[in-house]
Amino acid sequence: MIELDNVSKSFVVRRRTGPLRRTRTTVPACESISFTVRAGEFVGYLGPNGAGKSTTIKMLTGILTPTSGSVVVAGLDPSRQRTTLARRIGVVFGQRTTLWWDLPLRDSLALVRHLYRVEAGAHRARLRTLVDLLDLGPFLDTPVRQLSLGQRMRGDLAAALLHDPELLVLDEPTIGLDVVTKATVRAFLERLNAERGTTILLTTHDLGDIERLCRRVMIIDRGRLAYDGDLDRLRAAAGAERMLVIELERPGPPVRLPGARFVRADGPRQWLVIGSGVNAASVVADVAARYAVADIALREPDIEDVVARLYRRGIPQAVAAAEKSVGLLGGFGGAAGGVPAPGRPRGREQPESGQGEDAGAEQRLQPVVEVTGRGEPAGEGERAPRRQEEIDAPADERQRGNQRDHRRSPSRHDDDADDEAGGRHERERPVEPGRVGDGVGQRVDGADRARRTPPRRIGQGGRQHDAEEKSEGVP
Amino acid sequence: MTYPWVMWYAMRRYAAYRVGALSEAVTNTVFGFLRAYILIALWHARPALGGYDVTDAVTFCFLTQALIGPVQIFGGMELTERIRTGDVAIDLHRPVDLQGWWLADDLGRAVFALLFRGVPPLLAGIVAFHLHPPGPGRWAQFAVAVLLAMLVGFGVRYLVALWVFWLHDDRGVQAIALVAALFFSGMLLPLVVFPGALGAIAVHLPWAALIQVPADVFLGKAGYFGLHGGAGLLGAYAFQAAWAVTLLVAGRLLTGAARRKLVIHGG
Amino acid sequence: MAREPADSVRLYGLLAWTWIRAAAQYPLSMVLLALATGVVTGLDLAAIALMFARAPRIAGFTASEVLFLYGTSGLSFAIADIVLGTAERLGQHVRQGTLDAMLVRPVSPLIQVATEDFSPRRMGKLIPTVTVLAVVMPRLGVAWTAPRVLLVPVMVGAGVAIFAALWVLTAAVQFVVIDGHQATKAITYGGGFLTQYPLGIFGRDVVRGLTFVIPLAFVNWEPALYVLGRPDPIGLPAAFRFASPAVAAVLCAVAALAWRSGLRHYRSTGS
Repeated sequence: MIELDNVSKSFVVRRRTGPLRRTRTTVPACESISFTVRAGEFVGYLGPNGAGKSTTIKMLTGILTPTSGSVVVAGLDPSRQRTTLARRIGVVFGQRTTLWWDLPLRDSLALVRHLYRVEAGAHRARLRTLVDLLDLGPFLDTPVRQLSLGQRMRGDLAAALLHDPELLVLDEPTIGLDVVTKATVRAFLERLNAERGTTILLTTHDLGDIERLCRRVMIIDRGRLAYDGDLDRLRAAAGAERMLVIELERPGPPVRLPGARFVRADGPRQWLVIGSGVNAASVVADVAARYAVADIALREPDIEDVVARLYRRGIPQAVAAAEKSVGLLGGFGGAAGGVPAPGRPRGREQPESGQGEDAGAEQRLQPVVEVTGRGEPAGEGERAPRRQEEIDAPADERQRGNQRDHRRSPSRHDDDADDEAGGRHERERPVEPGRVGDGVGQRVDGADRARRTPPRRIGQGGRQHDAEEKSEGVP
Repeated sequence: MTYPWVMWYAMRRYAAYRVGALSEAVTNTVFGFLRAYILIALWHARPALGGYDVTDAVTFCFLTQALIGPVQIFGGMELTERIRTGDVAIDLHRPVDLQGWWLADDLGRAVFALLFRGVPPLLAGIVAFHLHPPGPGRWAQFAVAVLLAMLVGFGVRYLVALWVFWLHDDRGVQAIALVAALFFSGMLLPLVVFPGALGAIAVHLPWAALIQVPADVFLGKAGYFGLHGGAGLLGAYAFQAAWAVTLLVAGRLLTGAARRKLVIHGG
Repeated sequence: MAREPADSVRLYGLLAWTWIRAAAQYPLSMVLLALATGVVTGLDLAAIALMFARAPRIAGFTASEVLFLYGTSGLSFAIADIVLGTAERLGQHVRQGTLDAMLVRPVSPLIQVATEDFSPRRMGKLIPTVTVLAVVMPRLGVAWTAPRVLLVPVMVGAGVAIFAALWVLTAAVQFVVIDGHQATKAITYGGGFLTQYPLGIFGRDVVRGLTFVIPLAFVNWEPALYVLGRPDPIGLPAAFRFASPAVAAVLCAVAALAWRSGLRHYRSTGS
């Protein structure tokens, strides 16, 4: 369904350096990305802000043309056959709506119907189904601008699926939604994939989505595809460990135990990390025996933790090193195959991926994972301590992501002051370590609303009588 | 003192879009040229129409184009949007006077517009048509008239904006205000061209204070109509000031009513 | 995008009709706004009327003749504005990122932008111009030969195409230039304004510019010279009077090209 082969995209950024001079730099947004998605799959697409997720999505849908490499979606070239392709795919943007602000939802969907040339009978039936499944009934006649975020998202989903596309691409759909709506949307997507076999590509920051819906995950970092494979493998590879949260009776010095490492303390509460391979029960017993403990909780590795770790220290190093040392080379579902079965992939067995064939795996590994030279193959025995060190290494390489955000506006507005006022409609949320996936707290308030267009320049010097159209008072 | 700060901040905000403002000034200038030719043709047919000679007419034309920005003859105010979305409730709860705040904001915008949208057309006109710029004394008088015009302009637009509190769809009011402003301010044709009764009425209305009066001051013809009495220039100022005060007071009363409505009905 | 023109027209109609239906839920508001639009558009007419209240002939043209020019130009401009006027908003869409949502659909973004907010209110622009034409044409005092009669609708049609092409051009500019595009209003709105008057009053150089550089002279001036039986002030050959359709076609081609390349540019540099 989707095939990317060595796709790269770079942007030319003009930045002001001084009152009159401008420099041009070429910023690569995507570098040599290759992956394949088979029909009927449900794939998650993760990455820190500015990593190139949206750029990839745009290239898939034909909004952007790649600088090099080939993109084939549903057998078509998005940059050349945009309209033909558009008929067969549906796209949902989380941060802005594809609906029309001032129209009631029903009319918006009618417009969509005409745009996609859905004939009346099919439209009626499909609309009825979607209204049922997404519970759109109560607000079908409300103007889109008065809808809540959750309602609007459901409306966007309906609009994207009205023409029964083969592929659905979602760009952060659950951003800012409340828990109930998220659950509704997730259930809907799961059902869509299972029953209609619609291929779904889901870009998200919310790892709950991924955990619930996808077996296969692709992670993009700094323009390169850093991981493409099973979710469970990712979890294992990143070396997330179980967390023990102890509530002491009174605040005390850091708890020291064999098999557990102190992370931090906050008053009487302390967090310890239990190394994998260590028996949690014994650690718990130990703690209870040696310290006056009021409460204990044991937490399984959080997927958010996993990914935050990876984002923080740069995915290729952590994953590549860990993977190599653990000997999981054969498990990558890379560009050439070894892709989990469509529909409902279960478990982590990928028998077709040629396990144990180091040479073959190397070949497949190359385009997908950047091996940075740090990961010498290590024996099994060295696994635990090695990974401990790597994880402790403080690395903060996220800042590069911020550079990407700037590339968009300067090419449009030569004035930096414009940035704050209105140029940047694609501002992605900043990722704070440890808070990845906290979609609930960050409301995107009608981000599609005019982000502060320049202060009203009414009467654009145009002909008087036509200024009536242009002045905002007469929409 | 918040108000000077508000004004300064408004200027800075608009200054971020100076490229846009300058390109609008280009359009204003082109229109200035077009209208100048039309007026020249009219004055060839009727020289000394309304007491203006051709040079006066052309100067008038470029003055009107220059004043489009500062006086915002096409109407509108950001306040309307804030009222529509309900954000104005925040403003009303602040310990700052709503009208005062918006007045300061508007003056900041007007000053910016004066520089970036007022100067280019006037300059272009003076150069291209060999107009005679008056002496510094007259410029100073003109400046005072423009300031008063800005106040009147704000007064009118503020009242129009506040109506959104009561009418949820204000497009009708805006349209009426726009037509009235364009027609009665002298934007279409100098009010001196208006025949008979129409002209007599037009010069008393507030919109005349926006463009016709400052232009007359510039041309040294303030009080020509005889309406402003023998005091001429002072009469012109008094006319503008009277309307400014009336409109601002009305605005104040309306603001109070709006606040009461908000408190009682919850907006 | 490559599609049948008839298809595009049909699609345009469907989309416009959907918008109209939505607006029709507030019929009174619709009518009032249409009237208001008519009045605002009629201000130019008021200016001309005022001028001729003071002088019987201006630049050698009578009131009827100038009103004829006003009517034809105004009608062409109004129709073009109704059909493609909102294309001007392209810059807004680029800035807000909503153009991407349009590119995801199987319809040319131009059609989508042009039909946006299509409201019967726009029709109000037609009221003054149509009325004026209907009233003035019988009073023109010209001998209505067949070519003259035919030339009027041809003139209006070509005018629509020329203005429409100019609208598309100014929209295409906004793919590349965001902040300076307001200057292009001098061409669209300025063009609509100046063609209401006999071009002769603008001076020879301007008229030449408007014939060879920005072909606004072909909107109504050149054909009108034939209809009104007047000599050309700058002495161009008679063929120019009938060149409007050809000029319109060329300009439309240029506009289409500009649009495509603008869109291509947007799709390669992102936003």
